[in-house]
Amino acid sequence: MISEAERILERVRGLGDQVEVIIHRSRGYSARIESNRILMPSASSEEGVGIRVIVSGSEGFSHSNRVGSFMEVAEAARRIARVSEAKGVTLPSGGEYVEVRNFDPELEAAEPELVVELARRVLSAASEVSHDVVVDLSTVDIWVTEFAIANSEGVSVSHSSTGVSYAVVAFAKRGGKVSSFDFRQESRSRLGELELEDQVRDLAEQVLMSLDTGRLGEFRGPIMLSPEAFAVFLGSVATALSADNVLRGRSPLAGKLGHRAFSESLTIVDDGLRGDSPSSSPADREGAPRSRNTLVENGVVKTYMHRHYTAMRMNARNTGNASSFSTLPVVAPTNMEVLPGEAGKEELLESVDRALWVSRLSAMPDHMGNVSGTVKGGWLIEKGEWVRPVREVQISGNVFEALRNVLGVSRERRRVSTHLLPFVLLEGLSVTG
Amino acid sequence: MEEVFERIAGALDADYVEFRYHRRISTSIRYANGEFEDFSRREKAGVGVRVLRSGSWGFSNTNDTSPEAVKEAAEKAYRMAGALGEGGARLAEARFFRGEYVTPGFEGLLEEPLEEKARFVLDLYKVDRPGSVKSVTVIYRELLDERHVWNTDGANARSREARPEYIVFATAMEGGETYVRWDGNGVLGGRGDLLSLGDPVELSRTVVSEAGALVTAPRPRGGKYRLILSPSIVGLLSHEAIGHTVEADLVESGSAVSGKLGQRVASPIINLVDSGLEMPGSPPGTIIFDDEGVIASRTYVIREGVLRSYLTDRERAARLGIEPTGNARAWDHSVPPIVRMRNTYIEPGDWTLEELIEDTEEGYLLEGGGGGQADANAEFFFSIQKVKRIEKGEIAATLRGTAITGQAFEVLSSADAATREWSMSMNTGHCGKIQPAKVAGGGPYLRVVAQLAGVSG
Repeated sequence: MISEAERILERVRGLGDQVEVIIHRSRGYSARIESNRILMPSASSEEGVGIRVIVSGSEGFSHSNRVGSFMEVAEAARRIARVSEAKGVTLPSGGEYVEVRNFDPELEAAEPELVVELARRVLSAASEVSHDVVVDLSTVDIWVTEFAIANSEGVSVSHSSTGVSYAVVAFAKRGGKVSSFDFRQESRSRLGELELEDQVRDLAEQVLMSLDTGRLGEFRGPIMLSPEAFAVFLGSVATALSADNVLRGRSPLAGKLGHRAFSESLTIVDDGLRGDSPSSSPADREGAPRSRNTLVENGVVKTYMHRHYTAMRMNARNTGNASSFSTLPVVAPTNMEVLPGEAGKEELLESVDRALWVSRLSAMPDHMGNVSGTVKGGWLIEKGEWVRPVREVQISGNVFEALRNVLGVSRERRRVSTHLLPFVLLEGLSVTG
Repeated sequence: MEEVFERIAGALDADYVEFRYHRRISTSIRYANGEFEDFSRREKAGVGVRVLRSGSWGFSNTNDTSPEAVKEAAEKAYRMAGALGEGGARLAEARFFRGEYVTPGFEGLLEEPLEEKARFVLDLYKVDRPGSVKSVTVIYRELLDERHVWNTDGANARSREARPEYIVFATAMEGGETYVRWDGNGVLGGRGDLLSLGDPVELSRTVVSEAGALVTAPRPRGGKYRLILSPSIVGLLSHEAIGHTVEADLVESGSAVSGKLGQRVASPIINLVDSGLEMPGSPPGTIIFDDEGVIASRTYVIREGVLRSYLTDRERAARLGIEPTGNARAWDHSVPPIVRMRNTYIEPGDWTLEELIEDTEEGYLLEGGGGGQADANAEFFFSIQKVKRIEKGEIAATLRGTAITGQAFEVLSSADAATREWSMSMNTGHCGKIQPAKVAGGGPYLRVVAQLAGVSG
């Protein structure tokens, strides 16, 4: 594939001062589950060519899902570059790549029927726990993907990977009562690594526990976020750590480099090289080397996530976080990790008089981290005892404020997509029952 | 292409075969902080094939539209359907679209020079701004779609559809407070149709000046109040909190209205419609025919407070024993159609807004729906951009936004008055259920009782 990208580059490099060519191809199978039934197994194959042309420091980008139409794509990119305004964009020149082994020959050779088998595994794991559990609006996917990037500054890199993932949504239904739904998702590069049964069983038990809810009433105390609920908070942190947002004045973490912005118990890593994740690769979307980066260490902001342009503008090391083949590069996390604490989650709960357990958080923080939302699968916990499940609980406050008030990070961690996240006990949010 | 489709389908021993050719040219521009953060053009084309075999579905897609590649995709879909063995799916009878529907303005947008698109964005960006407004972002998106839906039950529907839209965001900061105000518009049609909805530069001026004015405004007190919801919030409520619960796939998984057809679910003044047909303002959820080739309906979901219909595709229509409503939609060729909304709105009443405010002793007028979430049990939580306090029948103060929460059917049961003033005003909306879809929502000003949340009393 790299020679194909280089051939196209040769044909179009005269269209601008600098030119970048990306080719990507993927094929895969997926299946859906609705109301405990497997539906619509699908086969899909896609390809694409993306071309970025830079003329006098301004960039234009175009993309097509037919590699054969690269000439038209390059022309459109050139026209956009001419209309666009100069901002001093350049392309990276490559670097030292680390080998990433996230390719599973078993997935590459998989028959299409494998997705149906995976969907059946989801359903039997749930029904083993209870027939009152309904798996709904869920998907399983397997795929093989390959990309190549060549640019006029000497980048020439390609990578192949495989992936298997599920996003399982479930709720419980018993005697006219319906729980709110909850979900688990996991994404891996190898079939054998999947923790599907454990995750689905745990999910089934969680939704069964939240069937007989009552009112919370007056509550003061910390809240315990599940890894999935914590992912909402981590999403805000990742957005704020994006150098794109720092440069655009949209990050509450602007100017916080080297400062303690979070509790000491928080260490956040983004690792673009992890072999167990299909999102990993030796190079990012611009062909710059990916790496493992500690973003926050013991609460101190160590680096923002960069792409070539932001690193250049901010005079920083490029962390290799450029993403998105079908658009201009944007900064995005790859595989995030919050390093585990020492105490188990039950110990953390025992350490406080009362806590509100939050299994899922229905909320969308704004870019400043202001958040208000609804707690789903909530439980009142007193001195480590699970007292009763609660409903109609609202929380509000600020994500960044709350993450300065972390009481503990659990030893246990769970995969949420490709991220590895603990349970987090924190205070500083207002809770209304 | 229909000869190719017919030949390939004929060679498969299937109950039903459906081909969807879809080509999309999209242009995205985002301008902020004095530079183009995005300016790109994408093209995506291909064929999606769905096969029903012994009552089980299979799907496949290809970006290669040659007869050989389409045949291979159809065979893959046939094999995928076989992986499930015998199934129970069958399809309800439906009225299919045959012929071509072309949005006026499609060619104009296709041929419009990029310079003009860039100028449109820059004009919106360059409006005067108060000192407290720290950043303005203008987004312009344009989707140009060609669809061809053919199936073995008789659909042969072609279209060329244009959907331009723009959004202006203004962020104001003052005294430690940050406030974001946004608005925009979109249409099924060309540049002229978009402009006919209102002057975009004027809209941009309003957004930017209100951001500056409201950043230091006080917030309302939380509590249960009589609230007058503006059309954009009525649209959000109709789509997010009611509409999703009546989508047949969610009905089947036990949404709040499962088994409630024919029952009273809202106040008698509520008529809630989901329509894919042409209507005033040409909102972008207009589709004419869906991605099963079924002629889109204008469906009364709620009529005079009574639940009248679900929104459905053909398979679920057969299972639920109802008429197909033309709500099967696919974002592009690469994904199969699923049950989606189109333009979802509440019909107007006979009050004027002035009368409605005069008649309200104490309460709030809520304007500008923000984002929101709702569950299948119709509990919702929406952010609101702007709030006006009503005291003794008059607007007493303009306040910053907050949020509204409740159970949508309870809120609609409390509705006691709707205005003649009516608009579709969620025209930049994308619904994100599994795949994106262009939808719209709207309605009159509607007076209800609900909880204003997120601020202490």
